[in-house]
Amino acid sequence: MIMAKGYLALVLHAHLPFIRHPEHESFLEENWLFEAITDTYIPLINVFERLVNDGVDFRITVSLSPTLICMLKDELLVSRYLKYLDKMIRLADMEIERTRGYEKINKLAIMYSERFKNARYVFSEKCGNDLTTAFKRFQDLGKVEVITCCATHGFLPLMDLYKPAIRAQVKVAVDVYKDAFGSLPKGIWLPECAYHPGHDEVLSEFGIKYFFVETHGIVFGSPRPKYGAHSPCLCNSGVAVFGRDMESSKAVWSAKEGYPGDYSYREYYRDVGFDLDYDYIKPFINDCGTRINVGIKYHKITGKSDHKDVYDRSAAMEAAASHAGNFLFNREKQVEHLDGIMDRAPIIVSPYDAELFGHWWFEGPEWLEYLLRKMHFDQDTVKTITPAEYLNLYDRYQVITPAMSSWGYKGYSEVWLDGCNDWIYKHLHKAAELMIDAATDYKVPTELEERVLNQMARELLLAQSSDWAFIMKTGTFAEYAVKRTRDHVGRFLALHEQLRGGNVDMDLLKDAERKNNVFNNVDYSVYAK
Amino acid sequence: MENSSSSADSFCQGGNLKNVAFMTGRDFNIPHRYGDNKVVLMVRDPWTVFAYWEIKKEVEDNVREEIAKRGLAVSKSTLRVYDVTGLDQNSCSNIVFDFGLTNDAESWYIHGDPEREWAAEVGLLCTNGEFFRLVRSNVVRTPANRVSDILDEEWMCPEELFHKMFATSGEVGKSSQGIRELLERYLRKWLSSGGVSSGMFGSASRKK
Repeated sequence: MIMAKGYLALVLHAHLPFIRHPEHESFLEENWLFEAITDTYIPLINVFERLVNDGVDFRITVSLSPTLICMLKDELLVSRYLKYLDKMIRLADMEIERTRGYEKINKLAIMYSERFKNARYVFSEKCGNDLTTAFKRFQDLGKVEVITCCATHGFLPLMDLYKPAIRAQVKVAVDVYKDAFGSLPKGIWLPECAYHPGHDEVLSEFGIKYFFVETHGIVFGSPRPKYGAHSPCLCNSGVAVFGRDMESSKAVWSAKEGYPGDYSYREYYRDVGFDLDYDYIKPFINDCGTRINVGIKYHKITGKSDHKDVYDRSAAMEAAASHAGNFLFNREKQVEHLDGIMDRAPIIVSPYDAELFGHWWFEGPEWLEYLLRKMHFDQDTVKTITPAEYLNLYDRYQVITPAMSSWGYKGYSEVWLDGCNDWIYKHLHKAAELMIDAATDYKVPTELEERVLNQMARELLLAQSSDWAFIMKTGTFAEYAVKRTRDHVGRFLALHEQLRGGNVDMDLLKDAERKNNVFNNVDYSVYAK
Repeated sequence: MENSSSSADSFCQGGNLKNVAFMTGRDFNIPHRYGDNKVVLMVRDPWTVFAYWEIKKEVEDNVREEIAKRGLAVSKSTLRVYDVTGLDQNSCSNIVFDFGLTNDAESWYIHGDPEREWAAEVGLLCTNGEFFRLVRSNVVRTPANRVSDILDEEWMCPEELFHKMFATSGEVGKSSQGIRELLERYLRKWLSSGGVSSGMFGSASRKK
């Protein structure tokens, strides 16, 4: 490997909570998955494909959360996605007809139609209805390092009292990864980038080599890290920790200064679901008749006012190229600056929610493509790298204890532990306690007891998704998040009572197994003391 | 509610609460209390620890009986917070706060300092000042919110260079103390900017 002056580790964290409602013919929140597939995952796969075909050498790290992997492989959700796509193709084709005579908008309707048709081709033909196969292929080609995340995106610092619950979040994740990718994950994205000292020991137990923390997790670590967040350190367990780089993150994330707010980019909040005649759009909005964003949007951000001009794709592509150039220029400057200070090559770790790319920031995937092309063809100062590759560059790394931290608002646990959601922990902790005791007591279960115990494990894991507390805090879908928490805890408690009482309600068990069928190979014994 | 028609019961965006009850075929009750006797501490941030608790009636009755036997009178239920940094985890020597509790209080946000170890007890405070414990918590440690002063001899970095790593061009040249403060302020600003995770359902927080 030819050494560069510095390295860039782009990390995309892809995650959705497990949302699957077989008891309903359609369910609005399932659309989150469908939109993420169409807007983000497939466009990213297309970017990787084009780069590989054009001989562009690149590295990127992608974390696929275990719930997302399970949903991408779920037969029911796959069939529903295909139905959803067919509906979108129909709408886009209707839009091509409707907008004839309005050249600018008509061009966009054609673009959407092509996108949806391409999505269908990539999803079904190229990936055999399982998108994880595409990520596996790019991993096998050495371009993408796929890493894992905790089983259901549980916020680990707030379950610190229950180590077996933390072990279960990690072990189930590693098992799902092994099933999907045929190997052990080298790294993990800790949910919400949230770390509590000591949790690295659990990662070490399952063979994980590295994880990430927010900038202050490493900068406030002890002893003082010589290279700040620009080099990984090792925890006492031997697991490496990488710190997020503030400067490069801000360029993309910041609501004020970040690229996604550029006026020529597509406006997310102007959508035909709200703009078009009700009777015309009715078959494509929510079944109960509420208008929703359907994903066809014709306007650009334009400015701060409500007035929005028509989106101009080529102008947006020019902006994406120019932002990619700006990002690279700044990384080169950053590396030059660090080169004068550090006695080893710095690494700049830039993690983002994957769904920012394409879903929120429509041009995000193209920005990434321009960036990776420019990095390959235009300069030698900064190279992309995966964390595992970087760890091979040097024999020794400083040992520190990172500080407790997360990438949430204000940098700690406040988003997930707040007046609006703190009531959940009494229940989550109790369920963890009962699970640990039950797993310890039932070392040799009957077949039925084993089924109950495994379903209890699924319900507990699902209740622990950090998403529910997050949604309660942000408000929009709060009722759903409350309901999900209550349902999983309630079902867990009912199953537990029946297990202990020896009177299992088979209807309840079968219903739970059918609805919450995530992690089919889960083994409750991970909770045993 | 199995296989019910989708139009009636799918969950509507923007939230029609009535629809929520239809989301599962069965509505589960979760108890308000579990009949436990415990107090749990959780760290929220360097300055805040969250406590929740549940007291068993029998435990409280027994303690009240003991208090009465000794001819004392209860003044109020109290959450007592200890700083146990560097002490035996069961130490009661360093009381930092006493919070008087109303009957229905079941949780509390305690504001303290970074890099300290905390324990708490829920108990009954008597008029003579004597405190009777009902339950004691786990011990938690609040994290650091500054650059560590502990240096590793093998991995030394001159103070000035360390802080220069974070300095953008305009800031280079300031004294190291100045840059250190700048770095810590910059980090705080970055963390408060809300420029962070929200996945697929962050529309509310990212809305321009």
